[in-house]
Amino acid sequence: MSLLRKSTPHVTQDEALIFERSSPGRSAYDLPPLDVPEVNLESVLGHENVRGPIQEFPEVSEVDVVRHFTRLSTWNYSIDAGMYPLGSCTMKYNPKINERVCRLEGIASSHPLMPEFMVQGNLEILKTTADCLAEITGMDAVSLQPSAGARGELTGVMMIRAYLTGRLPTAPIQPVR
Amino acid sequence: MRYIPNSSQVQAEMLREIGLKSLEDLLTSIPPEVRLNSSLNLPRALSEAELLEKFKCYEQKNASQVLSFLGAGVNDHYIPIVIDALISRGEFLTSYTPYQAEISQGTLQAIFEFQTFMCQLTGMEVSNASMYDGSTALAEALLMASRISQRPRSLIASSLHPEYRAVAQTYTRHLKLQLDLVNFQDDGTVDFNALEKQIGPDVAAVVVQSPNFFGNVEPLKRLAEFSHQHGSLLVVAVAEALSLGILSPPGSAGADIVCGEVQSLGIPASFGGPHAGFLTTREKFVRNLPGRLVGQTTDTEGQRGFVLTLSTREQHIRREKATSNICTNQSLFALVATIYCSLMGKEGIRQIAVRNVFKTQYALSELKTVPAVRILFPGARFNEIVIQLAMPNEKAATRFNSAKIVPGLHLGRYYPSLKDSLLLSFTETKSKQDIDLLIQTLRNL
Repeated sequence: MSLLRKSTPHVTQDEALIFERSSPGRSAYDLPPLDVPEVNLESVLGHENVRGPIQEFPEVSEVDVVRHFTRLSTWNYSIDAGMYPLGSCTMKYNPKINERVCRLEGIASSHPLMPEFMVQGNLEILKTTADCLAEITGMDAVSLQPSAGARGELTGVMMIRAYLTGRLPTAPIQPVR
Repeated sequence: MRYIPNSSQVQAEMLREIGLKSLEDLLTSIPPEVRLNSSLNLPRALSEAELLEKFKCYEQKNASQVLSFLGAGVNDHYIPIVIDALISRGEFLTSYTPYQAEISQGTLQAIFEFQTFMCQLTGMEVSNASMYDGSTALAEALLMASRISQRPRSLIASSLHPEYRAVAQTYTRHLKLQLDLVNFQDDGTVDFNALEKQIGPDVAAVVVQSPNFFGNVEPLKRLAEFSHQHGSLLVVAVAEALSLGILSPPGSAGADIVCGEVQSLGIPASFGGPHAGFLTTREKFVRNLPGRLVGQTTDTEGQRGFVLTLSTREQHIRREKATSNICTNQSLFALVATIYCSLMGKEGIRQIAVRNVFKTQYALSELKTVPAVRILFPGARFNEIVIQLAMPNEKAATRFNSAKIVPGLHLGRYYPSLKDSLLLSFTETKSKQDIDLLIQTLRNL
């Protein structure tokens, strides 16, 4: 059986580093017109605190950046490309709606130190998530604080320690012989 | 089942193939007493349309059209559209941690570029592949400093982010590491007289944030000289990475470890996370870095390639030798910071940083004209200002709430001595009009 070749390998199989794509005078940013007075940087920040331009930073255009990272992406295997039969990090499909919802402006732009009455929606999301996790795990309470599994392990171990330390005076832990 | 590709027909075929009658037969090896025998009491699964609607409702329960000057480690900067377009590519968004180098060159090269950007921003020699966030990066930096110096105590400036300090306390609580607070002086920076009194031969590191929690630039050169005189390391935390576009890099001042938060580099506030942290150091300390780093190598055909190297986690090396249990973390957000730095480039990173300084200096000059406002901490600052109000915070808050302005963070929450003081942030996203509205509201308090 002969297979139709649907796509060719990318033109560049050795994409340069973004720093190597730099060309003087290119840029990929813009700013609105300045609407406040300029100030002398050395006088407000102090001479010793002002650095010169970061010479090693690249000078690239927006299309350079888009092509660079798009090309890099094509070198990755991913769940969206096929299955990943791996256990420890349970590589499951991530529903695309998650990406849409977490980008809703009123959620994505909210600051963690906002007064509580201004972020009732966020708090309700967190409460609902915690309630669901409590039901699924059969536990009484949930912390959404750990940032990752490894940190969840650390949190769990520290909670166990805190619990046992709290019990120590009445119920000393007997070493196993 | 929307997310499960096998229809009941296909499932039946698969069961027949392996000689089983039902899905239930697959579960017989699980003892009945540990099986879940009732259905979970969870809300009904929603259709996508309902789900989107539900979350739009949550969104509407958050206050909208609020003019906020909150910063304090989570900073409001403009996020270029290109970032979302690129990180939404499934090859980045849904790829596994890059253990298999041959199918992860995209992620590995991007992390290598992230590390390079972090070194350029901080003026340091090596960077790891990212941390969870600024606070845990600081905690890991403290552990690292103790590993290097074999000393049990560190001096932490109280002008360092109170939440970073709290996380550091949690991490070090059971490790026989003592963290002693060093007060700040009237200009908001660390008090050298206090440092002199507290330093000793048992101090692993002097730890400061710059710009510090109040927005002021710490005298890093002097701090580095002082620390090194006493055989201690200088650890510098940076909660506002964009400040490094204009402020002298801590590396050139002599810092030994520079760590912090990259949320400012293209990552939305998202009510506190996910964000990403960084940790950079001197080459001589590279083996003490937590996590892992990506290195450049050549393959069997002599072509350039990238691989994970120096993974000092207990899964990879002996537990006693491991530096941390952190592994895969926030790679997508390290990618965001990498794309942001690429887009800004040499000129942009400086221009945006300078724009923050201009806005802040304008706000400062206007604030000085408001009789009910006193400016605290007069030293050099990047984009934050601490003010003290002539009236109780609670009373002021009511006025601000009705104007839909969040003027900043009430510092009394963290520093009892700074009751009725506010920490305000002025980034490039704030127009003159926004700042004028704040000033007007303050004038009418």
